[in-house]
Amino acid sequence: MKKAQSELLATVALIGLALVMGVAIISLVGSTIASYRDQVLLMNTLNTEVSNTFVNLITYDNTSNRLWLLLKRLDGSRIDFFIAVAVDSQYIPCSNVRYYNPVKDTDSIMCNEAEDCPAAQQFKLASPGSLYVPYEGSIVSFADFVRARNYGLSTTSSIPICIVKNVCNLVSIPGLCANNTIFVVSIPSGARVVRIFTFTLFNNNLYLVNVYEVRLS
Amino acid sequence: MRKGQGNVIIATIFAALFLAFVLPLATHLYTSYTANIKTPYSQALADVVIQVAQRASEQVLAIYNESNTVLYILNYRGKPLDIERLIVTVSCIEGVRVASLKPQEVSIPSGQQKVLNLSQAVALVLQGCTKPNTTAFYIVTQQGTVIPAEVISLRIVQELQTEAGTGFLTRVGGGEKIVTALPIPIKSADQLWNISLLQAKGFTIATLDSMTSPAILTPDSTLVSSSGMRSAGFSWRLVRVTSGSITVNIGTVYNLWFGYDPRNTSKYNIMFTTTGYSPCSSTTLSKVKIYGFRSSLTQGVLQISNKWVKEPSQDVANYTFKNTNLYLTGTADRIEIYCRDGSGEVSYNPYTMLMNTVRSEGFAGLLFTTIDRSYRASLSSVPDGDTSRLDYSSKPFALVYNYSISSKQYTAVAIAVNYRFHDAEGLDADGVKSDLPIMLVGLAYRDGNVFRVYSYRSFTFRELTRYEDTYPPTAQAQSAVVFIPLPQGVDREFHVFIAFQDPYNYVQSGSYYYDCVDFTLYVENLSILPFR
Repeated sequence: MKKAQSELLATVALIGLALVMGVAIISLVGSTIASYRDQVLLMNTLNTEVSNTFVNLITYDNTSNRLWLLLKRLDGSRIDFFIAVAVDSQYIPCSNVRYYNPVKDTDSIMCNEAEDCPAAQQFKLASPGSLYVPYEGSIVSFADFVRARNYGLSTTSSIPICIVKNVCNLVSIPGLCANNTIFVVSIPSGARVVRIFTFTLFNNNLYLVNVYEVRLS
Repeated sequence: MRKGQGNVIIATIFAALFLAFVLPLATHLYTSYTANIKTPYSQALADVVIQVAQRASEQVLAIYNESNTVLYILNYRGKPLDIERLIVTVSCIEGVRVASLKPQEVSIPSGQQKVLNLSQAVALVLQGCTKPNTTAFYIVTQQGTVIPAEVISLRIVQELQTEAGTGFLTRVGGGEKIVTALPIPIKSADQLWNISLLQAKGFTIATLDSMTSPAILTPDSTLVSSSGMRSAGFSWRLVRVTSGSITVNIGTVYNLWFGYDPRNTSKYNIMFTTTGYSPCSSTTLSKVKIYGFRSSLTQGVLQISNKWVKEPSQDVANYTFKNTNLYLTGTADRIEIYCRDGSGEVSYNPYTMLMNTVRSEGFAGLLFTTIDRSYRASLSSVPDGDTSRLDYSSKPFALVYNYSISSKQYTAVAIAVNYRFHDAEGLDADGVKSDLPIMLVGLAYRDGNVFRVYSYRSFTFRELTRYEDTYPPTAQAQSAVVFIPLPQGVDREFHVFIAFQDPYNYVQSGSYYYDCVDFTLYVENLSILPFR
């Protein structure tokens, strides 16, 4: 081999190496930033949801074992609410959750007519492993969260996720919506603790945003 | 060294530098970015929102008056209160209703109050609701705050209702009931002039074995017919009973007590003392009791000291020790004339009168008086001017209310008594050597034919005389609540009793007289509050 040939080969090899490494680094940094952006977006969404959505207790009717609560979105958006309700150690089905529709109420008495309180629809029966919770700085599964909080709930049985329709979607009010969504939960008698879990949907995954606890005894 | 070798060395240094600087930099970028992702997820923020919402409820005062369906709201939270809806829980016989009301006015600026009349909205909710009872009331704001309103109800002070089947007057309020023994319910056909009427109103008339240390109550109906009261000299004798028109025009009336006739409050019950009222002899002390008096003149009921009196005073001593002229004319349902020329023991009838000092038809209080003529101001004289007119009880007069309170059902009883007292002892407590009980209120239980005293509270002369003024005559309104816990583990039926007496005749010590008290006692109310 001539001397000039070997120099050319070495140069080509070096340029090739530099190109390969450059491309590899660019794609590594690029994918890192993309995944970072995703996570930032998720965190931002969760933080917004946490400060935007809240549950508040109205009253507990102990004669008919009904718990009256309200759901509120502070941002005025019309997004429906995803909730799960646990009474003591059991999740209750969505048929036990009904939301108040003021449009269909003719006598001011809530939930005594056929249509003024439709039952919440079941969004899905989720396994505790498929729900996520931002917890102590990272994202953990709902099963781990329940265990960490010592709620006494099953970590294997499915959780009925119910859709409570935002009252703003029942009434045609233009613009931002400021109304409270009132819902009622029928609970078994003798219940001690009722927990309302609110979720938000992000990339087709459900993330817990809030737990509202009502102690009845 | 060959020329190609130098290039290889350069390439090796370049690669070494690249691996030493760029790769760690990229790794650092990655770790620092992912570390930044771990921004603290603010679970606490939701709690803050709820806490703020809860604090708002402390800065708004809301009162819902169930009787007139009015909601009072005072907002002092520093920002407007925007009401979205009102949530009312109403308990009916048919079940519980949770209603949502939309008020007309929705925004209340801070520092202002609003009165919302909800009669129309509430009327809709109460349709078909038997015995509605508002159990809870909430204001839901547009911000999602739930503010509880205080619910007030006038059920407690509403009219008395008769408990089904028993005839006892009860009021349901505050979760417990109030049983009213006195005032007694009066019907228009009731014969008020004989206190034996009390037996038909749920009382057992009895006497106590001792007023100073009572143990046994023995039923004794002679207290309303022939025994119980004595005097140092002559006793009261009923000499005439008439009805129809009456005109009294006398120069000197000593004392007069007067109230509404409980059967019909457009009529009046009057009792007065004087001397020589026909048919009593001209020097004999006389007492006239007029029931159901209606004046035929429009100026007033009666004229005393040439002044017309239009209505009774709640101060029963208002017309005591008058020594002036009395004029009245009209018709009466019954007129009783007593002369102080009898002998021996008499019943409590001449000393008592069922009447009312407030215009509440159908309810009567009990007046008892031993005052006949005048008060005394020094130890060397006696009230009523003469020891022969000093009256005293030989047997205490006790009323046992038949309403029974089971120790199985209740843990305690509070007895509330409202009364007025006025005595003729100008020296008050200094005029007596011994302090004796005038009135007793307590609990007893049946034991065979008698009642055994379980617990009581005594009201002695020294206590009672502190709150009255003999002259100018003033009988202050006094009241007491006697709380008696019931024995647990013993199944016993308790009864409330009230007893009174005039324990004082007189004691002479040289030229001084002691223990010669005559007095007036008016029991307006005796209520029983059993506690579960």
